[in-house]
Amino acid sequence: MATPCEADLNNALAGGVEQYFQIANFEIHQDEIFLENSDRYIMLRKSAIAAFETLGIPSRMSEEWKYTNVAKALKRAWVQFPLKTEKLTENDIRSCLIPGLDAHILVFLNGIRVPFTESDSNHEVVRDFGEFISNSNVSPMDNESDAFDALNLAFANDGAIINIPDNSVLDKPLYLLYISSHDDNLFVQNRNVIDIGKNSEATIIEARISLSSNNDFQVFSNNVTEIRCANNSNLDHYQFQIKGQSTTASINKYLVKQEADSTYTSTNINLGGQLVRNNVEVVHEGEGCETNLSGLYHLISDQHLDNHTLIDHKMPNCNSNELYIGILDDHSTGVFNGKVLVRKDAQKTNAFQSNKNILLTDDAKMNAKPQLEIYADDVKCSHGATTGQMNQEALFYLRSRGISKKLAQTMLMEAFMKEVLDKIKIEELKNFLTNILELRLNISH
Amino acid sequence: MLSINNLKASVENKEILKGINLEVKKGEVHAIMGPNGSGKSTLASVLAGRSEYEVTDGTVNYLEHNLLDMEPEERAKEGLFLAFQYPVEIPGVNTATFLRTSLNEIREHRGQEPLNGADFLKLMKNKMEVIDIDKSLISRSLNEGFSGGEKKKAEIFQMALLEPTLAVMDETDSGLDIDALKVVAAGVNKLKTENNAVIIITHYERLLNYIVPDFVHIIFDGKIIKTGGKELALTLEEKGYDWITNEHVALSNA
Ligand SMILES: Nc1ncnc2c1ncn2[C@@H]1O[C@H](COP(=O)(O)OP(=O)(O)OP(=O)(O)O)[C@@H](O)[C@H]1O
Ligand SMILES: [Mg+2]
Repeated sequence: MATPCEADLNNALAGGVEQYFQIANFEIHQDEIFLENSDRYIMLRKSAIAAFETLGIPSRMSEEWKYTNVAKALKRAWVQFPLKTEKLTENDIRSCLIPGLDAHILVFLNGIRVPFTESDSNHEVVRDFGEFISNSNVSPMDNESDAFDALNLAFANDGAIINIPDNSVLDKPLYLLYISSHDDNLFVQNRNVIDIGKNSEATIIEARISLSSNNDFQVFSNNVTEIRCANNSNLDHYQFQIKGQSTTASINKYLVKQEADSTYTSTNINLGGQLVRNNVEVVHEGEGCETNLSGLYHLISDQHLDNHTLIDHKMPNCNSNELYIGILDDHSTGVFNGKVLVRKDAQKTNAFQSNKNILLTDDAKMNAKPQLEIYADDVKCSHGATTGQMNQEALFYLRSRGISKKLAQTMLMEAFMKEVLDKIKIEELKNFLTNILELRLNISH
Repeated sequence: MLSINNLKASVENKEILKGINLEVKKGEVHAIMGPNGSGKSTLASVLAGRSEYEVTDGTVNYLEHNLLDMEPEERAKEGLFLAFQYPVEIPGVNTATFLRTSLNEIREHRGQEPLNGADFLKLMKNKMEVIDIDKSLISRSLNEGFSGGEKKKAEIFQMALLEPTLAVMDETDSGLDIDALKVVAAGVNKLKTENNAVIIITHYERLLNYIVPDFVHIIFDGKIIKTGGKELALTLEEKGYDWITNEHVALSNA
């Protein structure tokens, strides 16, 4: 049994960057990370490699990647498994925990699951990675058309399978903590499956945190999460990324299938990472679905964030709400590309989308592209995108009451961000992120 | 306390203030009246330090400071307060938090300790007895969704809290019902001492029945063209602006 390895990964990436892909002498290496590889697994991976070979790394000529230069970020020799993985101390992990939050905790260090003493025993909900790839219905779904999805399937290191059985409520949030800490240029890929059974409820928090202090090395993580929300289920899904402002690039793809009367709520807070691309693709497979996608970002120096969303309204009587707001400082850049597709049968659809940005400097740039494609006639849809300066009248008002310019600006930025922060239902998480934000916005009182 | 000399100001290269002269001493109440668009709010904005208005000539001295050199927040810390004609709505900024921040910034400047939550609440309660304001407004976002009259009252409540040395009230009476007008006027009278001063910008004589001005100035086309006592406001109420402006035009043509 054999799986592709690092050399193949670098071959693949190098070829992709050059836009002509060659894995001529494709050597398949034995890799002890995946011991129990089934034939199906090998086959899937091989076909994923082939798909990636055909697709190549998207250039900025591609409409979907027009504003995000991912090829540039990939131009390095990567290691997939660091030679010496520093063992994380309990304290390292603690620094990444959310104070006061009682949660099931799963820790991935540099892409590989590591034990976390406290709560490592109680994961009936989580199964093994190899088993998942072999047994799950991972259709090589989108990876036929998405190079990074294909790349992930081909070379994924590890992942979590989360299975909430029918008619059950996950007793406390599941905290998936992805830490990177490395003395190499590290290429990490996780592939997760989240399956919420009928009438079930769960809260999942995903955190991506870079603990590396060495700015010479980069980590590129390319992750795919497949989510199914069965009939009448409810998934509250938070993702946040902090630190790694000059050392981390990541592409996070969420493929969400919603069955009838299910609710999927995603709240994404992005403060870290040098280049981040989030793809959220939601399909309604039944009636009565509700989808809520929110995003909040504060970007500084040369950070780049690209939020891509797609909501595929295939069925009648479904609602979707999207709110992405952010502040761009220095020469940071942002992209919001939100596509809402309302198909012919999706009558009585309500779809709302809003993207609001504040640019603090002349060098910061935002590209907002809302796309509504509507083929049904009895629907309510709206979208709006605004990009501008901070409200100067409001700033003057606060200053005219003795509040310094800097503090007044901070107050206004916090007020602006509150709209999404207030959507965080877990108080501990909200406080944790609010504190980080306040520090970032330089509050000193 | 305030000395304005030949003040000229423009916005987008259009001259709006065309040479204002005004002296305000401590303990005085001044009323400024004048037709729409004559420059009253512009004068108030220039005093408060709004940067869209470019001062092209003249000087403003305030408590021994060159006012025009100061940042808006410095002016406020030195006791200047502008009650806005159109207070801006600021969603997401809680009114109470804002008030406490503002008060503590000003207290710090005066060398006073910041107020803790409990003391601040006590002070607010006190001030609510002076300016009767709906408590629920304080827990809402600043001015957001406040009615016209509520906004004006909230401005005066802020004034009561910050205890300014020089208050400029820009049409605070417009949009107030008669009861609210009395409340506001009583509040202003209570706050009035021989050490502070008020400039009241208004279109109506009725407010001046409650807050009696020492001087009434009439501003027309960016200049103060007439100054008198309280009776000037009465004459205006009866005759409108025509008689003065005609007089002024006749004078300047002569
Ligand atoms: N930001 C601005 N841009 C362009 N014009 C302005 C601006 N601010 C004021 N003006 C103009 O300056 C003139 C004076 O305006 P101002 O608001 O000072 O009048 P006012 O005396 O307060 O009038 P009102 O009694 O209606 O409140 C008006 O013609 C107004 O249109
Ligand atoms: Mg005015």
